[in-house]
Amino acid sequence: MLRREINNSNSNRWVENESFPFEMPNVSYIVSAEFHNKLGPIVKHQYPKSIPGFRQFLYGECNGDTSVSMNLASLMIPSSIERNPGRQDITVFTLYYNKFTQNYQLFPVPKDPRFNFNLHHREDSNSSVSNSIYYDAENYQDVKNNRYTIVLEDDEFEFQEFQNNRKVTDDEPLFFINVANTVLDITNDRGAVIKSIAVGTPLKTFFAFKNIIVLVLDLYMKASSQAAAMDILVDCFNMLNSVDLSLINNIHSKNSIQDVLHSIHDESIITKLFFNTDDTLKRLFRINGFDTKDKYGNIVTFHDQFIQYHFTRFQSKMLPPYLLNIPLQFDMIKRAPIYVESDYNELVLKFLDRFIPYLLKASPKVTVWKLIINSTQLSKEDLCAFVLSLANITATYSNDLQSYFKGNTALIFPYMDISLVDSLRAYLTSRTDFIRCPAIIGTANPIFRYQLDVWDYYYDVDADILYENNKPQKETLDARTELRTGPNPLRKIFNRPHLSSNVVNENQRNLGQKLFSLLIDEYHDSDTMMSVLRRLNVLQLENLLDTLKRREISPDIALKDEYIAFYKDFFIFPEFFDYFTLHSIELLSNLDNCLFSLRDACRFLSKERIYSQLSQILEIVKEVLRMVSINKMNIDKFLNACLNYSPSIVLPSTELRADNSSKWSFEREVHQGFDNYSSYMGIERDPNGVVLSAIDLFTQVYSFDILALFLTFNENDCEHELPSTKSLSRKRTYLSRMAQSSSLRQFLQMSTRSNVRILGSNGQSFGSSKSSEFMNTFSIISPRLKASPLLERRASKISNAITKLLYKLECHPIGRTLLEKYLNKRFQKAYAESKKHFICENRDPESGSSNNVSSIIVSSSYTDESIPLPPNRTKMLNDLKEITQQQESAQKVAQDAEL
Amino acid sequence: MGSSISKVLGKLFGSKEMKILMLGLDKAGKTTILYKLKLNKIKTSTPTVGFNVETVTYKNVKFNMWDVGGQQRLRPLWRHYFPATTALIFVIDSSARNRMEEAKEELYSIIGEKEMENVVLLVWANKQDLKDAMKPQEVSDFLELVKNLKNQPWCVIGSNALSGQGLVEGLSWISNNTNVPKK
Repeated sequence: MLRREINNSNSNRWVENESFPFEMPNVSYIVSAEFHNKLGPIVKHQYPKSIPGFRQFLYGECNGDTSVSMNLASLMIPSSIERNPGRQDITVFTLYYNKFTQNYQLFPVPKDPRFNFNLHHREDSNSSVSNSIYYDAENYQDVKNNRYTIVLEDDEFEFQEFQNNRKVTDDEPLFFINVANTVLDITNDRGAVIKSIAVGTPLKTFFAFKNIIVLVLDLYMKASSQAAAMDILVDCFNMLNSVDLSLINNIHSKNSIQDVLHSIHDESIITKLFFNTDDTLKRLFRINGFDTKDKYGNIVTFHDQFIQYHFTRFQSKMLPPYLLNIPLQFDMIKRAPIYVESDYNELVLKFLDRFIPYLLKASPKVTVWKLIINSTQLSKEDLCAFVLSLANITATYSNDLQSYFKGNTALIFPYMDISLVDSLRAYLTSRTDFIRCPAIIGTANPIFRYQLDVWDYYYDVDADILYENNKPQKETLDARTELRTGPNPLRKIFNRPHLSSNVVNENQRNLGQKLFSLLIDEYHDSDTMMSVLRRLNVLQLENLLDTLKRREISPDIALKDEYIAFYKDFFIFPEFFDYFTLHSIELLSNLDNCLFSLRDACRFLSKERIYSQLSQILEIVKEVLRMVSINKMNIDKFLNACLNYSPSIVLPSTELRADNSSKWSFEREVHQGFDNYSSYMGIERDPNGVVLSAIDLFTQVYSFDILALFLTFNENDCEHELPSTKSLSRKRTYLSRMAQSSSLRQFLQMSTRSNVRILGSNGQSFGSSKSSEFMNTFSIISPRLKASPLLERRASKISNAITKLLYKLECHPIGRTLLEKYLNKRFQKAYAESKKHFICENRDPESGSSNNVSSIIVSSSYTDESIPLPPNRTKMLNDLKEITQQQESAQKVAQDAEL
Repeated sequence: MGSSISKVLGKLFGSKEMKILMLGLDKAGKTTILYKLKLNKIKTSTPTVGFNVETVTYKNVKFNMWDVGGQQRLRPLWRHYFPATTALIFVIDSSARNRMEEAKEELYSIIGEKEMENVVLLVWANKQDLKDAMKPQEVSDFLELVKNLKNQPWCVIGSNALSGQGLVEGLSWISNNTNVPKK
């Protein structure tokens, strides 16, 4: 048995090597396959053992069930690979571990694995044409009856010990990256040799292994013998496992900070952040050290935001030195759940432009879909990357939201061969859930178009045509269906409220499609595209939240499900469905609205009304401050919200679009909105500056300016003594104010944005005005505030809170850089003044008296003495203490005056 | 001149388009035939991993020809290509006498499928240039088509993919024996 011989010759290789056994293998399996001239694609070698569920026998041995390993082989030897000899191609596939059957399978495991169908063809021994499917439900019966036994071979005992040392859980899916190639060979009776090598890893950064596997495949194909070929595989496996990737894994696992990093689409910020690879990185990723060696002693180097692992400790007899000199390189910024090497934004945008209108036209009940993406012209690598790019924006690979809709796991199959169509069909139809499984499947065979029962939409990438399957939907009327659709009176109890989305969808369709077409026309890069999609996601979420509030729908709804049901959108960024991020977005919206409303309040309203407006602003800022003070992750989430929030003033008016869509110009409106914004904020635009496109304006970061705007209203007045405000103090929470404020409630609704947002004195929407009607707000608001000590005091409190908030952000390693970059100089100056004022006040001996000892002072003095803190942390605590003392001092003065 | 008339007639009376499925054991010469018809060239021979599909136009008829790999483990996948097939071309290496039985079994398993019961069958007895090649009549007799295929039009034509012998005749026979609506 060749396999046994191979294992004998190599079994001790990885034990002998100093760095093994691995605690956390980077690569779990290495597999090779080839195209056999008589049989077709076959799996040739699997190391260190057969993948459970894919045990195969080598050619020539008696084989009871070839179909399972054949499925693997057909994914590893992709169709048409023979057409481009000498040019490698790459496929990607995932194996999911089924705890119940203890096997890996090609399709995701449902919640209850007993009902999972690990599907493969049943080879009918009496017929060469397989036409039946069998299910692992049969295996379930075996397990249930204790008839299921696991037989370990000798080499597997050894491997099991190694597995026991693993820290990575076995139920993680394994991502396989496979490199295939064809080499013309006149000695072969068919004139060519076709082979491939795949490595299976739990790491979502599997593309990092690509370059090494490409070179190893070259060596493997040139190997003089089977034994030499196997030795090459074993060495490759050991080499890839000889480095400790825990640092990069740790960095990528910092989800909240990664969300902030990938929301930054300004390279200069990234460069600045990663310029200092020591202290900044430690603070950024909250990691103790960035050593220049991994725990096995391999050299680790840092270049900008990249980490390179060098195979300095690994010694190989089979692999040449040049191969060992190639480092594994990882981007410290996790730009997407699955790292995709190149930009596929053009393909993605063209597809979204085609697909989203179909989704919007679909029946309201249709929330999941099966999508086939076919191309015979793209390389398999490009096809896989395209499908993965789409998967990345559908939240299907995210850490905490693994399902697309109602807990159903989405099926992402970057490249599927026709040999798997029966398994796919069985998987899709076997789901016991009422809601069907959404699927995105890449294929390179137009015959899939004829398999009408496996797709709802079929996208021909080469021709840029989307086909819709118009066959009537067959839905089995099970108990749940009956409950939902039948006349059963219980239906109302269990039926979750779903919203009529016609009006919103019309607006969203216009906005989304306009943005997509602009992105395509203007050739924007991938980061800009992602930024636009994120902002659209945020805008839609704002709108949905407002709608849900107004309709008094039960708060225990699954927001993501409602979102999908509401918008039927393709792209979803799960980070925005996190409570604190969502809350941050909501607070930014409220603050944005209140600040703009304040201007009108100052113009026309009474002092009480202005006071009320100020109180709302104070409550919002305090709420933000409270939220970001809970923990550091909340600062990350707030920063992420700031980076993706679009102020309403810059957005075009949806009502105008509906009324006069033919004349509507998105670009003109965005530019007009930006002019209004600049005027309102008192920001001077550089007349000689670069003219920005509408997309650039839409994706600019405005939130920090909005946060700091109020500081300019209250400049140079902080030293004034403030009168009592007891009679006017209000204890309402900002939420209750929200409920009472119709303008705030309306604000979140896009369809009424232009009216609510900012109305001019004549009630005309600024969105439609030819030129900006805004004066610098400072000139209107500031005098009103300064004219009344009561209002001035309230304004001072707001300034204090904003200063504290900005200071908190400034102390954050990214926040500081973001403020430097995005905070307008005018606001930077105001903030600096405000900060300076607080510090000056703190030096006042009265404010530092022992009577004003607060919990923060106790806390900080305790930390000063007991726990060594980094200098910046100590400084921050001291500064916060000073600010608190100043506030308390001011309050005491006010109370004394009142008495 | 003839071509122009054909084009005019095509415009006047429309053109036929049909899906042709070309199957057969490995190394029978399917891909060589396909590219001889398409490009009139002999393409470097490598085994077909999966399929090739090309459109060949002959006498105002568009033949969408699907050539599917014939290796043992690929044969169970042939049935996925059956839908919407107008004609089946089964290619046999006439010189591989020891594989005739295997070829016959595969042919009958295909035409035994319900989806294929109405398609016309063309058998290309290929590699007629080789010394030991069976003649088309011998192939026909071996396959026992007269006896077993009474309700489907069928034809066995000798071919040589390298020279192109018999290829046009085969397409012509398919064109004359199929009734596909004009477009």
